[in-house]
Amino acid sequence: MAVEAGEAGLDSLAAVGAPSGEKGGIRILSAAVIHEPSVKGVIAVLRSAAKGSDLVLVDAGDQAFNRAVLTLKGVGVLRQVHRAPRGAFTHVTARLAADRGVALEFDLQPLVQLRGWPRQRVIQSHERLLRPQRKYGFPCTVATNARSILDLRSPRELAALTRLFGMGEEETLRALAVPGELAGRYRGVP
Amino acid sequence: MPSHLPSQRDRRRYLLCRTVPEWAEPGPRVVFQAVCEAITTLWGDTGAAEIAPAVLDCGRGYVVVRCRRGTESRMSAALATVTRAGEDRLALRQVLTSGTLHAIRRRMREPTVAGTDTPVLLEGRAFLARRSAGQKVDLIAEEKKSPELLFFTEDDGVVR
Repeated sequence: MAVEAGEAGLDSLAAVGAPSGEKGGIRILSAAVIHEPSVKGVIAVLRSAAKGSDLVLVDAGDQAFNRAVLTLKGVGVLRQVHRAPRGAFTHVTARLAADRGVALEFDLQPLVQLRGWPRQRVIQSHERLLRPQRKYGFPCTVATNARSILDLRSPRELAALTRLFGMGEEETLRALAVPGELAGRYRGVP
Repeated sequence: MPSHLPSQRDRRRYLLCRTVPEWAEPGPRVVFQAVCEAITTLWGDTGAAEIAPAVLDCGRGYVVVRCRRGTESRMSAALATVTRAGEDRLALRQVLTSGTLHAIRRRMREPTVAGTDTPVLLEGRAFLARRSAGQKVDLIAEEKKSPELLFFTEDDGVVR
């Protein structure tokens, strides 16, 4: 995967469960994804499994959940916001994310894999999220959530995909650099 | 009757894409269908008509597609959503966009010499190890019902 990522023009990748290091000139960030539905569960996983990771990503939930998660130390990225209920990410959460430096993930996998109205809904959701991102300036990342080299996309392709919901090429390249900047910013147990 | 003067012909752009996995050799018809499906689902029939896609060359690990000038960004987005050609999974990695086929052909790398398939036993399961460019080694599970592709490198210490 690292070899293919290097050939595609990427300089680093975040891999869930992999140890951090370097392979084939590609920086590998150790990432942990937390799927817990409750804040209590997120805190428990943050204390145990996610402790040694460079980057901690948490699946978004409703608004109360998101606001609580954004205040937790160690959380780097809030992901899957497009799957959260409508109104889960408001101007309050946006301001909180900007204050805490927590990034929002734009998942590009549904844009590649889905067809028809499910994809249209994801594009609409990403468009809606891009507006507060530009207004409040919180960091954002773009992810392919690749499970094999067939799901990987090059920066040029990622820029073409993000253009579908109005993100510019500069913004995409900046978003690609965010995980590297967030890595190692683990701030201890909440 | 449309004019055939070179200055009045449609301006075209050519996109060079690398096929992933590299050893996949999909037929041009199958690739054209996959590209058309991706364009139509993303941009609709009118968008597809504007783009006017065509597959010019297919093989040796590369696909050359053509579109109208000014529509290459839309073509590029659609190509990024290609996930399979026919029954097989396939990704098209875009390498170059150019106005001439000459530049596209110059950029094509010589195909790597395909190594022989070596049978490998891993955790009690039989695989075929197929070496491709660089360090890449593809492991193909030899099972009847669910063919599975695993990607390893020599660094992983699995295939020697």
